[in-house]
Amino acid sequence: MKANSLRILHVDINSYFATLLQQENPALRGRSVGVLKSAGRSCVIAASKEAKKKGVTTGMLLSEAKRLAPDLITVAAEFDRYLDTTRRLNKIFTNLAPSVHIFSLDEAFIDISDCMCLYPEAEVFGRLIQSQIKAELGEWVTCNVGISYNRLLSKIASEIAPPNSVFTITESNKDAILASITFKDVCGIGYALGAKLEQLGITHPYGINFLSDVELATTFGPFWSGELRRIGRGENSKSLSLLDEQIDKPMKSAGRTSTAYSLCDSEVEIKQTLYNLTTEVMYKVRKMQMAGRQVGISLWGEGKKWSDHRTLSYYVSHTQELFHLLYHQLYLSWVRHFKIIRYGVFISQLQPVAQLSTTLLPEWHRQERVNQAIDEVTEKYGLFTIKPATMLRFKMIRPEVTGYLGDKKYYGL
Amino acid sequence: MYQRIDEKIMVAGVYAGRVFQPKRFKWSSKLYEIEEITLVSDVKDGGRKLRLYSVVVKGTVYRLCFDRDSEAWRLEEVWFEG
Repeated sequence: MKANSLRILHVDINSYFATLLQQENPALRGRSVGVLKSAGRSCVIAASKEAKKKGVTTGMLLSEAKRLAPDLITVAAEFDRYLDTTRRLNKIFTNLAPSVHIFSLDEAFIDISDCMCLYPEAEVFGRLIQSQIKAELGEWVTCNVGISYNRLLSKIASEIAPPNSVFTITESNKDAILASITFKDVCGIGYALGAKLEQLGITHPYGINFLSDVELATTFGPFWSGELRRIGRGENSKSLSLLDEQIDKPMKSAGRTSTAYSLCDSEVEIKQTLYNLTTEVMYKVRKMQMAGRQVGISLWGEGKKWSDHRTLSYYVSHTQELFHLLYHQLYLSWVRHFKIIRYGVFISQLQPVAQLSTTLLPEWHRQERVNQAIDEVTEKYGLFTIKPATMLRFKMIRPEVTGYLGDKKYYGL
Repeated sequence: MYQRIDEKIMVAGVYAGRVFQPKRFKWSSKLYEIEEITLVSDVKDGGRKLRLYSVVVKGTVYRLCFDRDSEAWRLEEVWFEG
């Protein structure tokens, strides 16, 4: 393998949410920081590297995190600022190389194939990225850079590298690395799949090579048997290969989930929350000039989950219409038997409105004019400036980005 | 933790190249000398374009907000230990 075939870099900002809060506030630097979604929340959504050393992990209950790190300082997340920082990172990357794929809020793949004459050594380019990030965002902001000849291996390289380092996986060290890491370091293998592999005695990716095609297909089915075979060989998984095809494609779905502070048994509050989330989802869909024809709702609470969806023969592009489907047709047809803490709504099978035939129904056009007027006000004064009178006393749930950045196309990334 | 303030302030600064750098601000008749700008973010609230500056004064972080349309400054939050 020639050195110049090492052209795929994976950049991963170390402990992104917490690191930015530490960059912002010198009093937090070097200390255990737990990031909460907002003040009063009981779940740690991110931890500083100092807190991670004490065992604090993402998704941990605050009480457990404080038991592990009694000196833990909790700070509310600043989602708008994280998104702006991701935009700045994207600008740094695209100024250096033409092929950049923002993978999540704090991760990006950079392909330097087209600029290898400028950067003949990928490691030098990796260190350049690190220094430019520090110059733009601050001295406290560090990142790992993984380098290899495909995305799977470059991401593994950045996962296993020590903080603030550049690490390369080549053909010669690939097998040794795949035989020494666990599945938590491999993109695409979740907890359940990793546990299933462990039941077969496979504890590291290289071990997949010892399973026959028949064993893989029988245990994991046609899709995952292929994915696992590729991962075992250190080849790009299908999901990582498909990133290129997604670049110019519009979003296929839009959704929003939200976890409340406490279990809710109030029908009024459930209705208001669903309306709130529906408004945000449809605003995004309308802003992208899309409409969808599959709608769905999910509700969680008391260890239970209920979900339902409907695929329509027509496209939906109005908030009231989506809310009517989700609330009146799906939710009210269900007999609720648990209190709700987590809410989710989605609309999928999105298509550009320009590609759809226009309805002749006068009521639809009246609704469209109403929605257009609301869009204009929202564009100028912000979401929820106009809301139904029934929502006046409701504390609106504001939009927020997720670490996965599922709606990156909406944000222009 | 950050304490919500949300009060109007006056800010003086310099343009370094095309970038504005706040140097001091006046809040409740008291002058605060900025030692370091630790984070700058551009965010939007509807059509309102806001630039958020996190600045350090005597070891304490102050979150300043500049409304780019109305050209008004506000002190949004202050860090309090404890």
